[in-house]
Amino acid sequence: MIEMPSKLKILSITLTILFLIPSVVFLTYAADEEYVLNIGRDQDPDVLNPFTTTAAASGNVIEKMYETLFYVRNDGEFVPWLADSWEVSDDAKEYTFYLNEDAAWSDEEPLTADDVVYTFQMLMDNDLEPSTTREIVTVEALDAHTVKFTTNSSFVPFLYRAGITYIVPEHIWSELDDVIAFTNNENPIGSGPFVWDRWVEGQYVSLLKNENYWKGEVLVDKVNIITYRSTDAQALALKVGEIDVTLTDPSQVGTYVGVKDVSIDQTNVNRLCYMGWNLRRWPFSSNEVRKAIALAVDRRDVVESAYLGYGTIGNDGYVAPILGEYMNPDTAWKGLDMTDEERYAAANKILDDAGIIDTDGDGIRDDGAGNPCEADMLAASSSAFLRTCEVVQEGCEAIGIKINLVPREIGTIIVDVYGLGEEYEPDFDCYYMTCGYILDPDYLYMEYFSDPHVIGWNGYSGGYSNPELNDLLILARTTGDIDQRIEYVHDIQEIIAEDLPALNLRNHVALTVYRTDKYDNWQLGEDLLSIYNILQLEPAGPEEIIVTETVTETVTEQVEVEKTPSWVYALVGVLVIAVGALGYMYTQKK
Amino acid sequence: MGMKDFIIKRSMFALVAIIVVFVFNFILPRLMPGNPMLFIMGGVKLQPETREMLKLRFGLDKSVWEQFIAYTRRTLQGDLGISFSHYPRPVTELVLSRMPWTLALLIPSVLLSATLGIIIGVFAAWNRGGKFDTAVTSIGLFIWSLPFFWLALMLLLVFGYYYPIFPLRGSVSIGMDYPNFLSFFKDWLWHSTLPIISLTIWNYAGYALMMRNTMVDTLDEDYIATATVKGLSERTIMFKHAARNALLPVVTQITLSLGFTLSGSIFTETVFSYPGIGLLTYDAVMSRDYPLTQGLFFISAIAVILANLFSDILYARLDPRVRY
Repeated sequence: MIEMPSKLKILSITLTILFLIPSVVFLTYAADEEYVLNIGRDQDPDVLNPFTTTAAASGNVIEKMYETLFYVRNDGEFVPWLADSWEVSDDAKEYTFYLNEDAAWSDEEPLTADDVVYTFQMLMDNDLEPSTTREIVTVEALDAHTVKFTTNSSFVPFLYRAGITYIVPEHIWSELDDVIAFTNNENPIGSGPFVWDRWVEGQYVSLLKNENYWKGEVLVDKVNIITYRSTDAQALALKVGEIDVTLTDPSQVGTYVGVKDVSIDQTNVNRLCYMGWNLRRWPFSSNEVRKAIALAVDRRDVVESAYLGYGTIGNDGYVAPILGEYMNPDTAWKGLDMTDEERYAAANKILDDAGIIDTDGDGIRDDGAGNPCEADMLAASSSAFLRTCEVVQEGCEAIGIKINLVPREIGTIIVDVYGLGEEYEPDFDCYYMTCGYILDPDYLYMEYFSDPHVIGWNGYSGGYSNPELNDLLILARTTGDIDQRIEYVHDIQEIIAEDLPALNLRNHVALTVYRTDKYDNWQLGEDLLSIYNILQLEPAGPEEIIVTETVTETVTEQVEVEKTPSWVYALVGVLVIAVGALGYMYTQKK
Repeated sequence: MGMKDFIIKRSMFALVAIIVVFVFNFILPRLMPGNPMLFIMGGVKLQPETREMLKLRFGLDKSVWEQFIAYTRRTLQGDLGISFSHYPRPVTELVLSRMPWTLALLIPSVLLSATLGIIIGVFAAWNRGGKFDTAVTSIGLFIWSLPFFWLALMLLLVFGYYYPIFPLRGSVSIGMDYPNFLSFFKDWLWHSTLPIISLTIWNYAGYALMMRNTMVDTLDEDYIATATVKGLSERTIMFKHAARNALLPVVTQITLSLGFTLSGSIFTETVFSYPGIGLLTYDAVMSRDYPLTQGLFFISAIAVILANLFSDILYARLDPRVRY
């Protein structure tokens, strides 16, 4: 047997040491600062320009530095923010906002009506936020703290839309050559409770508390928005306390169950999960086919098997319960209290009565002219999406309608279905998609108004048009009287439930997982990543953490000390393995 | 053919391959269904004015030939276009900002895995049929058959969660200011250890198995028997006669893997949230950022071609028979 050369011995030892060095480095790891809130995200921000960003993670950063005239809570309440109060004229054409006189930018310049006027004028000049700004005729500062908007026509949703628009500092943004090309990625100046610290691209964004915040002292010293590209790593990070709060999805919920100091919050959001169809094509051109499918597809199964019970059953009126009184309870899913057999029987009857029967005995109904009830369904390749499409397929199969699933990447489905303006010809049968909307029923106008169509939205891509609905949609956005508006929105839902331009299968809920050992007073039911929640967090008392008997299981600043034994065990383990391996090699060569 | 001619010939092949990739990189997105504007905008709904403005900015209002000439000119100047998902940041800037992180991960892992693989492979072959050989072969096959992301996740679970020796993400600690390079290096090393170890373990298995197998073949050669009869020491036979000859295919494999790992680090960087080229590629694909995807594809292809060229030349240098 040959002896290992001395050079190789040295090399082996060097390699072993190389692997062990990082363990020693661990000793130098810096502990968290006193009140740091670590937020986990699955993506990195793109740009921090509030008007051009398309990344949700950018939104998480921006809303901590920039502010809006008011904050809209999930229960629909407008919480005064930069504006203390506001007035709407009887004809819903004039909107006046009264700004808080203490409001100031983080560079200590005062935030005045001129900044608000500049922001909206800049948006109008650059055709940004068009759903809001295209309705504006004039925006003027009545005095240093009062801004008045005049709109083209009565436009009730304007209050909501203007109220949630970020206000930017005129003294900085007016110096820019091109606001669209402005990334705002370096030291953004806003009025919010947090100011810029740093962005290490692909890794994290750090924000420090604004020491001069105009609304008062901020308790959280620092917010880190940390990027985890693996959901598994993100889950581990929350469990060990490396992050305090993050979004999750139904498939991950199980990993958090039973974990000490970890809770999950379900928040209703205005996001609908729907089946879209092309009304220009058979079989979805038939209202009877759409109605039969609406009955046959088991929406309970969608919620239970595709989303593991998270979410609520979608209604036919295309409005979720989060919109409160705006939702018409009469447009609930008709199959809600029916058994499978009853639903299939009712759906079959609709089709039979319409003469859509199986004339050639192949098990698939047809229109009598040889056109079978068969369609391709674009199915995005996520497990929840695919399972939903399977539920649709099963329901349709039970009533003699054949659905072929066509797996596609979600971006491709969006392009295929919604296209891009006048250059696009809708070329699809049906698909499954989710879409988030504003907390105002005006999204129904965007979806289904067809005179002219809002290009790129469901009504246009599906080829749906109903003049009666158009009239009601206009009335709903121009009627200032809230009771009257609710009535119009209910009528709109009646028509949508009758025409079924899209099938709302499920109302989404956002799942947020958070730790309870570091902060108290989480605003459950709200967006726990939002500034509204963060400003109300109260650090949990340190004695509460120290006194707890199970403190060794809780990885926080105090528990940092407890890591050492594990570290020693691991180090010893690695050393034993390394020495053993070298020893074995040595004995082999003897 | 002399060595110089061989290098010139191989370099010409590489140049042709780069030109083909260059043209292919231009044609590919234009062969896709729909027009390039659809891909530029992805699922974003834009106003007609904005769309027209972007058409002008990206030169999509010009003919294909004009676009190709502009593309050639820009590429030669090192300009790979503007990223859509990071608009208006240049692709070149994004790639260059991420490249050092990936190289810092790949170079140590390739060096470590190659060194370990070669040494252990040599000893395993020398003791073929023995316990050590059996252990090396079975462990190597086991590791080689593991899905890479699973291996990386297990390392993360054990050494990031159950025994939190290493961090769960990133390449640097949050909010750290580094007084000197050494403190930065230590922090980076702490973060990079798990990614490097996972890449090393996985690559090691391939190198060790290949080295072991080629070495076993080499040991059956007549010149090994001759060397033994000549009374040379075992160490001389093992390293100077057998290992040196068995090394050739492994060297090729190592140089090629250097090229491929540039894009092949996607899994590692995703699992460990490590901000390198792999993660940038993943993001570019997921956000339908075509200029960035094209840029990364182009750079990766060039890396593979150059690694191939380097491998050819190195092979010729190590084995004089190759070029004749």
